[in-house]
Amino acid sequence: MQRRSNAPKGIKDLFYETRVLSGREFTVTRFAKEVLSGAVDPVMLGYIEKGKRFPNEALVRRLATIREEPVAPLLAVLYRDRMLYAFGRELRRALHDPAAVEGIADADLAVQVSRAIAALPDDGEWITTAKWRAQIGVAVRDKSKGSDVGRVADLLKERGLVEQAKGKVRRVSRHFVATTLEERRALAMEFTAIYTKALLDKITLPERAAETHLRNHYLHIEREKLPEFYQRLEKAARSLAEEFAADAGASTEFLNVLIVGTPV
Amino acid sequence: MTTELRRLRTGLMTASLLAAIVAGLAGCGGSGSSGFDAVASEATTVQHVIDAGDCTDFEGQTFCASGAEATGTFEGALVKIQPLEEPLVCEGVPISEKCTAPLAFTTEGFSRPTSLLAAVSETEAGPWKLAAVEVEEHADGVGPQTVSIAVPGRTDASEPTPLIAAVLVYEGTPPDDLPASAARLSDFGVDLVYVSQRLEIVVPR
Repeated sequence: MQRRSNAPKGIKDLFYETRVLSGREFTVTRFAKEVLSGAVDPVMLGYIEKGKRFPNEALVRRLATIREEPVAPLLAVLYRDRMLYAFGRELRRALHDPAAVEGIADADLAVQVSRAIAALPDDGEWITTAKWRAQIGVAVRDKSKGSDVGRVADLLKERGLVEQAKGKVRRVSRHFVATTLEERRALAMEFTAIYTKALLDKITLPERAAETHLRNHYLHIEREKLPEFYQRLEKAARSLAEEFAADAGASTEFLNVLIVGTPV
Repeated sequence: MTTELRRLRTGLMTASLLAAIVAGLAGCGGSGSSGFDAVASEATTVQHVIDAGDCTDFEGQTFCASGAEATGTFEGALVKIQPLEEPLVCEGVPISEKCTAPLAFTTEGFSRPTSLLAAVSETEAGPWKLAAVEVEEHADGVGPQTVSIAVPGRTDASEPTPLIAAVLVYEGTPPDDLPASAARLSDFGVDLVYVSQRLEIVVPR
């Protein structure tokens, strides 16, 4: 059962979709008993689907068998989620943010914002608001959260990134700056999720290694030239992104290019 | 149905089909970026000079706030754009869709031949439209040169419209093929830009 994800999925999503999309209307209890052969308590399975607990590796292996998929990519999702959870917990301490850790869900706002911006043509052409909202909806993992779509649309409008008129929308600017605590946390989680996925794909999943580019370029540079270096790096990245950007479709991937430059 | 009509209908269907295919192929994808700080851009540079009141270089061009002394090639020169407490009042024929409001600026200390143009936008992010300028000659030929920008407005605007005016300074003559409007001020190939404070333009009722 090979599926292409439209939104970044956590291990909880994989358990949930395997049960729900099987088409046999399994309850958590029946799925735990009949499909997973009692390998997990139904209450624990409920916690796993809600992201409140992590499954162990044996359970993930069993899930891979049920899904008729290789186990390595599913284990990579589990490892990434655990790393994100640990990172999220420390991040909240660093930000003096007492809210509960939700793991990958913490990145949702940032993911939806990036989808929403990329759904608008670079040349500022108007598209229908309905089409745009549908594109944002692709990034909403929990489809019951329809309000997320409106929230992202309002946020981008408030920040002056988009302009709306007569059922149409167009981009005014292309760069979203995370300002509130929630936005900064979400963006930090998104950046970490991108990096962690790239790293795990590269070193644990040979079949996916080719679709990820991971490099460290190093040099000595005059301190005063750092701003110019970053400005030109940004310009080059933007130019490439605009040159290669295509309409989303069956033959496209949503590519994230995370750029880090820091003196060590 | 005559042959002519049939041909016409076939032609229209072919044209519609082609239009649909072209529409399907058209459209360029989107891209974007996110971060914890603003990307240096022309818009953020304009924003900075308005708020800080100084001059800043961005991608080889100098952007200055009204009254700030220029650096680089035009060192020592400056442009002062008329400060305004009240919104500009758009004057025009009531039946016309457009009206203009005069916004004066003066230039000082330019030691080499320059050309001046003006552009206006509602926001720092553009788009920018070229606006007509009118030079008021001094009888004695000395003193600061006063220029007036004919700031365009729309007579159907029901609320004050935000406005930023930019004075474009070219060393020598400006390029021949300047566009009437552009996404960024740098698209006008300008050497030095002076920007006004954030202004408003109103249409009297």
